Amino acid sequence: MLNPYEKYPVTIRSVTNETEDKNLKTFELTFLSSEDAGAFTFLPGQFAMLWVPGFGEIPLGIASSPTETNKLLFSVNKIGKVTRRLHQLDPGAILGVRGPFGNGFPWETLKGKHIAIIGGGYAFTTLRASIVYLLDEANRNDFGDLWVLYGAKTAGMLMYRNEIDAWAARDDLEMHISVDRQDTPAWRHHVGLIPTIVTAHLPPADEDAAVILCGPPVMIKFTLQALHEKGYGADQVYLSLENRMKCGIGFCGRCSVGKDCVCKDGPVFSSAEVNLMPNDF
Amino acid sequence: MNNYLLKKEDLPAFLKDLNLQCELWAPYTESGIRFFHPYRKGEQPECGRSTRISVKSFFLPRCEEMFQFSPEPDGMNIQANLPENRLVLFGVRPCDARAMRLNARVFLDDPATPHQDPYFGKRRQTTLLVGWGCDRPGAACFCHAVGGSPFGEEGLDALITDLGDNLLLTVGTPEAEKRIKTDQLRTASEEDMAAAERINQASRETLSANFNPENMKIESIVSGDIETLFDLPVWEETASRCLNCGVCTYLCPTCTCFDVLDTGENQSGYQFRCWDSCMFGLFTQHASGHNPRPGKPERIRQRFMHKLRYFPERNGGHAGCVGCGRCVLFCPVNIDIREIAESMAESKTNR
Repeated sequence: MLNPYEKYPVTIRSVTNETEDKNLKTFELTFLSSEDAGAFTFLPGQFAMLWVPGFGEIPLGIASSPTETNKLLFSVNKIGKVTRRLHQLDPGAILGVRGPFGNGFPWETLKGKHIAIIGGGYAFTTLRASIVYLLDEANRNDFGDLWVLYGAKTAGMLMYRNEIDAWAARDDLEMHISVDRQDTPAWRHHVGLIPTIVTAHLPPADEDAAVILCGPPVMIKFTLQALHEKGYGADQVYLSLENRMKCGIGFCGRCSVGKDCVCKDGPVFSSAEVNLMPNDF
Repeated sequence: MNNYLLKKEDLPAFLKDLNLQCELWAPYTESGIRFFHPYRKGEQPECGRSTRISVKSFFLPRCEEMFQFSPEPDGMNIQANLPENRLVLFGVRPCDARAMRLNARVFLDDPATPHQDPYFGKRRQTTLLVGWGCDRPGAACFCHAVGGSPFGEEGLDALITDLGDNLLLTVGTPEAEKRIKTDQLRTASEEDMAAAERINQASRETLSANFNPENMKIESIVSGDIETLFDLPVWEETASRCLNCGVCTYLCPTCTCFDVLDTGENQSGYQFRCWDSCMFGLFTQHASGHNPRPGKPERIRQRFMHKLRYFPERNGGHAGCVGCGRCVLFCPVNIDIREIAESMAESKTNR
């Protein structure tokens, strides 16, 4: 019997500060064994358990795409015991990774469809993975039109700044970046909350379109309304749920919502599936 | 399946022999509380009654070390501590054994996950369960209302029925056949079997007289409207007296939620897990402070909805409860799962 609690030892290769409040850092990790690196195959939208020895394990969405060879990224908000410790660590520190776990976004179902990726705030991590995955030459032709709508409180709170500027300059996707509040005169993109941006810029739904939506609960609530008004059905919208987890594989019991566990049945559910769950979020 | 007859006076020798092969545990009373203890030579184990803590602790210990870690020049040495020892548990109640079968659905046989829990799995493989049929069901027992029975063999390797001067030993698995020495025993006669059936029947009648299983219709709960169940007044009512002490979850043989924690410093230490409880606020609290189940009503609802709705929904209609009665007996404010189940089942007919 394999031991799913066993961790792959990894080391921190680099640390990037993502936001002006310095609370969000991206950690690039390298597997100590190339065999482990080969065994860790995943899809965007999946998560892993990141272990900081002596401090604990936490579930994190994988921020890198499987198309980025030998790259494993996690963008981590400094908020709890484990993440506070992680933020103190420098390149070279040894950590552990377990996974990948969860279902990821439904890439087989999404094939051939136009895709809108909508994200708000810190929840953009697995969306970054998805965009990189979709833009990869090997995958781009499998999908139709691509929209990316990304909002943050201020310009300084946008993650992956160099990459989003590069995506905005491409002609094979339509990118809408927005800030809740303009605090720099040089800002050239939108100002406004994501639901407003959705209403103004996302084309009306057709049956070949799908939406991947991640963000804070209040943003999700109003964006779902805006999408509904545009004609997007609940089965066309995919959400990634978050809950506290300890095991990541359906045993420890705490991430359950109704009969489902966010870890083993999700974390990605269609909005239609979420609508059937009891209101226990 | 083979049935043997063991003279009651030969039980000490029988146990001594089992203990020679591997570690034997049986129920004994100490300071007024019955627990499983290592075999005591010359002392009769107290079978046929409930132990305070179920045999869950042999499969999912209250606290267990999962890994040991320490730095090494090019990385980190991480050693898994998987259980090794072989055990025989003697005098297990059929409800407790059945609970381990239900727990295996979570830890080993869930089709929704490709993973299995090797700590639980290893112990399932190496532990032999010798049951003792329940001829004196307690006042809080209701195994018959949740799919079990006082002499049920589900989850047991062997079962003993107390016939008075003799014990009927039913050997159910090849593993038990291999590990229990039966060559000196005489095969049970038809009269012995008939006597056992009478005892079984009497026990079932006692259970039904104590509690009418019709009051706890799991199938009505499973087919009920989820929102109606979610909004039942019983959650607020029960929460008003619940202390969130968690004793129900610790004593429950099918409560398997656990926490995983690290201890140590300077990159050396242990990762361990211990029992956790959905009764505690921190169980679900996110690092952000957000909590999906912030209050007692939400947590109480989760416990009973999980046992009586979500678990059966995922597991072919089987309740996540075996009717052992511990939560009923030991709840300090007399919360009774049977009454809550009744409210849940009624919600369907009243709607």
